[in-house]
Amino acid sequence: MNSFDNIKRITSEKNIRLRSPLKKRTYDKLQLFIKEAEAVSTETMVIKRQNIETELKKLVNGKKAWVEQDIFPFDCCSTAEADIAVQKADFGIAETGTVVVTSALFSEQLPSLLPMHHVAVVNESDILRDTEELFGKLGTAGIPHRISFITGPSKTADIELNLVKGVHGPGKLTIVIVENDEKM
Amino acid sequence: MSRFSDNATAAAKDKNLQTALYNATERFKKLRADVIGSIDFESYRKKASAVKSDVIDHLSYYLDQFEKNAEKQGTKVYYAEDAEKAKEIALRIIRDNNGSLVVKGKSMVTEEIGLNEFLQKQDIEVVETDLGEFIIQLAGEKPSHIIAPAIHKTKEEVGRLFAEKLHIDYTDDPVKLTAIARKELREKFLKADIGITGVNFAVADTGSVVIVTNEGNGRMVTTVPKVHIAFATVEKIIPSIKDLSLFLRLLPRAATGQKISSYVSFLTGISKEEKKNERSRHIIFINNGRDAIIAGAFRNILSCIRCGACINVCPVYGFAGGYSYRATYPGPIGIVLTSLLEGISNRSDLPFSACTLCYACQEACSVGIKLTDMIRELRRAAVDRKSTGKKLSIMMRMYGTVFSSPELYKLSKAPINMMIQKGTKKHE
Ligand code: SF4
Repeated sequence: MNSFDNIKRITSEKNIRLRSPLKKRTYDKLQLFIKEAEAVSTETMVIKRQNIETELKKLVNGKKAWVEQDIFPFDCCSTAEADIAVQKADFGIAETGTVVVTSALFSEQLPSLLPMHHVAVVNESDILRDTEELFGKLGTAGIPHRISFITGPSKTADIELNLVKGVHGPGKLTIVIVENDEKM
Repeated sequence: MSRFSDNATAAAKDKNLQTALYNATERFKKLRADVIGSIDFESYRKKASAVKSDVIDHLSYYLDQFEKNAEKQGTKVYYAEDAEKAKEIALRIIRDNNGSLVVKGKSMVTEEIGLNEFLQKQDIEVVETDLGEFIIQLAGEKPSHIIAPAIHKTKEEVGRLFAEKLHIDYTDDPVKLTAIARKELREKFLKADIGITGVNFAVADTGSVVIVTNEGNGRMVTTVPKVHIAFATVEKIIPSIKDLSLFLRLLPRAATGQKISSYVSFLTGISKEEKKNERSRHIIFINNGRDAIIAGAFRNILSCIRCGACINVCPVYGFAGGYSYRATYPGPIGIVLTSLLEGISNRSDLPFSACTLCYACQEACSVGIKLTDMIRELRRAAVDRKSTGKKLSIMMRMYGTVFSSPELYKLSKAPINMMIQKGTKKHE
């Protein structure tokens, strides 16, 4: 960008200072994340790291499920056949109760898209305040080929404004938050 | 072209339409009102307006930057001067990939250029996947609202339409109707070779295409088929991914009263592994008259982020409905854009009959476009033309602005070339 462009941009940015809708006062990121997620009909669970497998198995056992390999091996179905899919999410965004799934491969987007129930597993330590924090982390050079923000279930109001869930994507979203390991 | 006033009079007599319009616009207004106060709306729209003006002032520069970054990541970038060119480019991409089934996300620009009709004539099947768009495609109609395209249809009408076209038993339960559409469209997604979408934001500093949806069809269309073609009018550019925080707060609040939409997809090129799988991503930037708008007095209209707020608050839209405008874009944004794109003398009734100068739209606009002032200006231009007999007085006004800026003058001299010479930078 040449200097004149720069001058113009800097000046207009100086004049208008935007505040994130999150108030300055200290707030609990985890609490806000849960509150905002539930406000858009996302279910949330907070679990301890050592309980991941037992807790998640309760969700998937006996169902046509797809589970990300690294979480635990679960041999059942492809994402297209599954009714429920469990996948790690890279970040959470507290301001909107959003989970963020980044990927280089298309297939990595399918668990959060094809089955009726999507379970996103996110570390408490990866919950960020807002998109400013996320974009700061991602930078610009070489950002992931795909970044998906997922907030609540798939929905529509296209027929007489009736809210219906599960149009093309999942009708149900559960976020499993893995608590920070206890500090000594 | 039938006159707006005749169309609106007819619409006012249609009871179903009146109920649908009333419910929808009141609902949208309330949803927006409930949530817009959670941000400092005035500062947000001022900032949005500043960002967009900067884009329009330096469009060549940002297009260039977008192209460089997008191509580095593996997206192919094309420029189309007009609708015909854009359609040709798309057809070539589809043919090169042996495509025969296209699934589409909701996109106003493809309506503007008449893409579906064109592709269908080439024996390519085109399926709209946004539920509202799917409904009106089955009905053989056009969208009547930019956010809620099937706003004018009752659930009984949708039920009858599905029963007839999809050969199923009649139901008017929106949950069941949605499930039927899910099943029907899921098959199409899995079979399709090409996905076509519009673009909410094209981010210059990352070369990303950003698409915002609630249904998830935008994600489907860009994930399942191997080829993704995005259509963007040139003004969809924003300078930086950092600007997105602002727009992602404004757009869903203003459009549907949400703090964020269910899905925001950032699509940036194609990874090396996926290229081996013959995956590809393409973006076609379309001018289609934007250069002339940039050169004129109404250039700020290009800041529009298509939130639909001005449409929902417009008392005239509230009874006339979308079809009365006989244009791709209805409501206040439609009056101005249509006048500029189709020529003020061709649609001179719009600024008069379709507006009461109540200023509700100007007050609501998410990016601070002076919509009502513009409509006033369009009226004045139309009257001037009549009284002075000068044919193109509006153009004269535009050129008044143009002559005051050597850069714009250059643009106006070579409208079409803008797209080709987009490397030319300001102040150099
Ligand atoms: S003109 Fe303003 S209010 Fe109307 S759709 Fe565009 S951004 Fe929204």
